[in-house]
Formats: sequence, structure tokens, C-alpha cells
Amino acid sequence: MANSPVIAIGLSFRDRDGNSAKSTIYCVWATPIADAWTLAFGIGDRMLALSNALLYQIELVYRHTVDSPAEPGLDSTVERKILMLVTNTDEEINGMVIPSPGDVFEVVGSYAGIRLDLAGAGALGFADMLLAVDLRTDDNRSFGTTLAAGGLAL
Amino acid sequence: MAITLQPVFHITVNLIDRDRNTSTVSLYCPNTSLLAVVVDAIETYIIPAIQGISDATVTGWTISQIAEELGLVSPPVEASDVERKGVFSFRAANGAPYTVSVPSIKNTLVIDDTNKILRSDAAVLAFTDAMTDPTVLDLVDPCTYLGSDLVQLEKAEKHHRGSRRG
Repeated sequence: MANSPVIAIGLSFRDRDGNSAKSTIYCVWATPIADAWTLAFGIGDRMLALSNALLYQIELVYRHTVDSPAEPGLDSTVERKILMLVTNTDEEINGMVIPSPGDVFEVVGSYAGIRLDLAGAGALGFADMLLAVDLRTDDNRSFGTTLAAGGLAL
Repeated sequence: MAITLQPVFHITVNLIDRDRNTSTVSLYCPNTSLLAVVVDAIETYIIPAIQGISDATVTGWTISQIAEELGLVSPPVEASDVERKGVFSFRAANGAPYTVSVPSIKNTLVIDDTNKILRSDAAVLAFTDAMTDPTVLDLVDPCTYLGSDLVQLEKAEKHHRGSRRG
């Protein structure tokens, strides 16, 4: 893995007609995140003094790239996707869509090729990840730790 | 600005298939985690889990944190137009050029009969100084996308450039 040499800071503005535009500035990767926010808000304030649009969003982005990615599988196609359904302790169901599912589906029965094989290595590895990482929803609720089901997303 | 920091980091994992089409997986984790801990979780657990399901290849990932306007706010003034940009061209320490645009630049900052931005205006100076002088914002200063410090303002002009529909 290699990280970008910089943190990208996106500042998004919106005008009276609902059109939006983004300005991007950068600071060096080693900048502590609190200092990057200081810079973002400081530059945002100064841009706002020059603009009569609304500054409605600021985003810090850290980019990593894989140095030498492996060749994708022969049958890989990101148009096909699998929906992983995960439950949390509040009995809420959350979903994660993963493109180009491999050989992870049931192979016999009515749902062969459609439903995730929960006993397969891929599903077991995914379930282990749910236990190891504190995943959240976009509004910071628990994403869940139990892989309940999965299937081809249509 | 009444902009509120979201309580989560947004992780986007990028994948590519055999035909070089790309797609992403989107997930979130709490922003109370240290960034290094999130990076470790991505590399140790999340990417292997995704690669266990997908036969496309992970080519990279991003972590982003967003602060945004959540409440009701007054609409921007009638004269606002994000396609009217103040384009500021800087010179970096390594000699490279760097340009940043300020959407909807105020017309009062543009010299009449020209497209030049009034560089002596106090608000313009406050912006350009913050871009080039690391002492202005607590020793943090912007740089080019390759990490070279910005050292000098070269040009400041008004241009009209496209935007995206909000």
C-alpha cells in the first residue's frame, strides 16, 4: 500500500440556483487531523469572505493505492453485485453491497447461484471481519456483527 | 460557519474487474478511532474480507471525514453564481504552478473593465497570505498535490467555469 503525499481538502459551495462547485486544496500527509481541520476551516472562512455563495460542506480525504494489484479474476465483472445483510443488537438490518462476487453462492437447491453460502470460506471471513471491526452506519449506529444472509443484488 | 463534523469516517474501497471497469464498497467507522487504527483495520480485516467475497481486485481506498451544514440556513444571495470563479494561481517551492478557485467570487472584488481580482483588498490578502504563509494558520499551510509548499501568488483573475447541478 502507498499513501498519497497529501491530504485533499474539498470545500463545496452552493449558489442561489442550487448549483454547486468544489475547491480542493492540499496539505502534507503527516499533518495531524486536528491541524488539517484547522487549515480547512481557516481557508474556508477566508474563501467565504471572497464569495457570496454558501459553503455547505468540507471534506478531508486520505487516499491509498495498492502498489501492484493482482490481476482480477477471469469472470470478474463489477456490474454483478452481492448484497450482504447484517444485523445488530437492536435487531436492525443493514446492508453492504460488494461488486463482482466470486464463488460464494450456494451450489445446490432452489437458490443455487443466488444465495450466499453462509458456511463458505468467503462468508466466514466476512463474518470474522464484522466481529473485529467496529463498523457503523452513516449516522453512527452499529452496523452489526452478525452476517444474517446475502444474495445476488438485482 | 455553522458546519458540523460527522461522527464517522467514510471508507471507500475501490475495485477493478477484468475489463477495467471500476466500482466501490462503502462503509463507515466511528471517528473516535485513531486514523492509524482505521488504516490497520482496513488493511488487516476489511480488504481481506472483501477479497474473500469478490473476484475483482482492490486497487486502493480512501478515508474521508465530512463536515457539513445540517440545519436550515438562509439561501445564498441572488447574485451568487458558482460558475463565476476567482482563480488564484500560485507558484510552489519546487517551481510547479498550482491553481485554486473560489466559487462565486464577489463582483466587488473584481476591478471594473478587467477580469483582475483586487489583490490589495483586505479579504483577498487574508486568503492569499493564508495560502502562502505557514505562520498564518498555526504553522499548517496548503501545498500542491505533490506536497510542495506554495510560496507566491502569481495571478488572480475572474473566470467563468462549469459547475454541477446541486
